[in-house]
Amino acid sequence: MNHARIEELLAVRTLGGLGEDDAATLEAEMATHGDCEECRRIEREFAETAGLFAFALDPVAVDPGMADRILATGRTDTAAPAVAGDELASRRPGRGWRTFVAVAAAFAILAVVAIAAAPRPGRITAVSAQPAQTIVRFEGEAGSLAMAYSPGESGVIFWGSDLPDPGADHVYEIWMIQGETPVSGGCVTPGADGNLAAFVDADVGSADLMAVTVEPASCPGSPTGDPVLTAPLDVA
Amino acid sequence: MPSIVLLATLEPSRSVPMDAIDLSEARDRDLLARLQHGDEDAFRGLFDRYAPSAKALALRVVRQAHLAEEIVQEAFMAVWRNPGGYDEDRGSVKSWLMGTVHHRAVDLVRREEAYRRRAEDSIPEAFEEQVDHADEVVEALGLPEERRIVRAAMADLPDEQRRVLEMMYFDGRSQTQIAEATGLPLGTVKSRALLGMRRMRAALEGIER
Repeated sequence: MNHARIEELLAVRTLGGLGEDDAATLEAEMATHGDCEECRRIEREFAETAGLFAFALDPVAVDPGMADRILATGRTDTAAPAVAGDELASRRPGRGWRTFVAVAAAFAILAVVAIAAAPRPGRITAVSAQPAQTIVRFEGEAGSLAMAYSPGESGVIFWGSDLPDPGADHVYEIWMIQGETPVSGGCVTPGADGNLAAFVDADVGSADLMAVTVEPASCPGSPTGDPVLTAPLDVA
Repeated sequence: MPSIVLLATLEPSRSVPMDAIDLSEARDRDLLARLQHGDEDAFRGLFDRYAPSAKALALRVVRQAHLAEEIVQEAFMAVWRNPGGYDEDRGSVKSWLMGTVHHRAVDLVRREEAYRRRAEDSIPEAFEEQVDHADEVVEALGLPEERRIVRAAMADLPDEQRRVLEMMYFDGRSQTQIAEATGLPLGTVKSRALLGMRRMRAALEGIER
């Protein structure tokens, strides 16, 4: 199916320049394509491109009271169900933690940390880090997992692929470990295809080791099993 | 306890390519997810990050500060009231936000041409280097590199393509208005818009999302 006409009209529409006649033509043309992945791709990429144009402009200060005014107007929608991370309880680690850390450390053999912008071959095809971001690849047998973060800033993104199903009523739990103290980073479940992409609003700055365990779906506050993936962090 | 946001619905048909996610975008999606729960701090985070650029865009199109301010307020009001309006399948949060602002600005221009200030020199050209008091804000947001790249990409366009893109996107002019103003055939205006967008898409691919 030829997308040349659609691409041209989508370009103009994205820029805000489409006339009414051509808008109708575009809608009619799109309708003939039905559920068209290529059409959506073109539309998405043009929208993404044009959306960046604004950042060429020098930003302009906004009325400092605007955010307050907006917040004061209230909301018309209802809150969505809590995400998994919101339900996690923050608890102190259990007694078995020393063993856990020892196992984790041995498991990782405190190998040279893979902090590199160029990922090694594998199913995680790329991590589009910005210059200030650090990328760490986990070691272990449970598929591929990597994380990216900006040192000193909150927020970590995790990419995973080929992650085995943790089993019924089980999840993967991410741990940030400082010394012998594990702090849960929350629980995640990969998709049926073994892929995972998750953002954790946490600061790993004080952690010297990351680990992943398989845990009950209740997402316990202390690890109950051995790590299946680990990643020492460069704290120097 | 940190919150976790799954960045992609995990069914294969809806999954976002792994190479199409960066930390900045992840942070934006986290803010939006928190907005779903009425988190005012998350709203302020998103507002502080993008409202100045949103206002710059609106101002560039409508050319009147109070109208630009209204557009930004309406756009962010819509986000606050309905953060679920964002569809991750359609692109990044920042492009969605700016697309919303641009759409409102162009609509306003089309409806109320009289609002537009005709003096073209009242607003600096979009891509000229200029002294800007908001630079410190931009530095804090980590956007200067993004700004440099977008400006460079625009500067690399052939003049005739850049002119059409600027007239259409930043001046809010329709393809027909551009054809009339430049004397170009309508088909030429469309083809230049397409070629310009293709080049910009290729040039900005690295910083999208």
